[in-house]
Amino acid sequence: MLSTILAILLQVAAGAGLGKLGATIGAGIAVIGAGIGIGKIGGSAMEAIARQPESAGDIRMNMIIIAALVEGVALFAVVVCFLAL
Amino acid sequence: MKRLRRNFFLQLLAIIGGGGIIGGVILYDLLPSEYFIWYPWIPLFYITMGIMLIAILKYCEKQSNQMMLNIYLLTRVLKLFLTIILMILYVFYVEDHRESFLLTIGIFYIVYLILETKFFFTFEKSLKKMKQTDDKFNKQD
Repeated sequence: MLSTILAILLQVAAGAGLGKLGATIGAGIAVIGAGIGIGKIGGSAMEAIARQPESAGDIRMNMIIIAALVEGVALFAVVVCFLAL
Repeated sequence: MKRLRRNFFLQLLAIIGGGGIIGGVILYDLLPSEYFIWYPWIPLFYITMGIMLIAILKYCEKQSNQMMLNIYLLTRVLKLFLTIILMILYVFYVEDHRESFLLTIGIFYIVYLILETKFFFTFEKSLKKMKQTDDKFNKQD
């Protein structure tokens, strides 16, 4: 009985494209996370440069490397979203 | 600075260009079912982006070194948007070997990102060194 209900539910889910919806929502959440990450990096870096202008170069260097990591993850999420379409 | 730019260009040609050719040969010979006609355009796209970055940085260097960071970040955002636009156009209009295209462009993007970050890291380091040398000379005077 339960397996029949599950099978019917799976068929309905497949028909309605819920898999695609789940993948795109997941990718969206990943992009939001990346946005928050880059925002925090940028904000903190600006604050740090304002506090210690003499070490602006070091802060910038670290900021760019961390931003690159976040950017890579964001693109990966977008690729997953397109693959799910 | 000129040496840095030249090194970046050579690395770009060796890694993106060479990797593109090797990847193309592997796909064409070993996995012909996964090869798609648009493959050669992906490494070309990233090499063009690299040349564009070098040209912009060369132009900005004459203006101010501080402006370069903003320009660099701008080119980075531009690159991300162009890549996404390219993916959208391919997925909706070409549709041939979608998965292979998306995976290939993702791999090339990450490789290019590493190269670009390394370039800017070296650039910042040389800038710091130059500043330290200037400070030393100023103190001696």
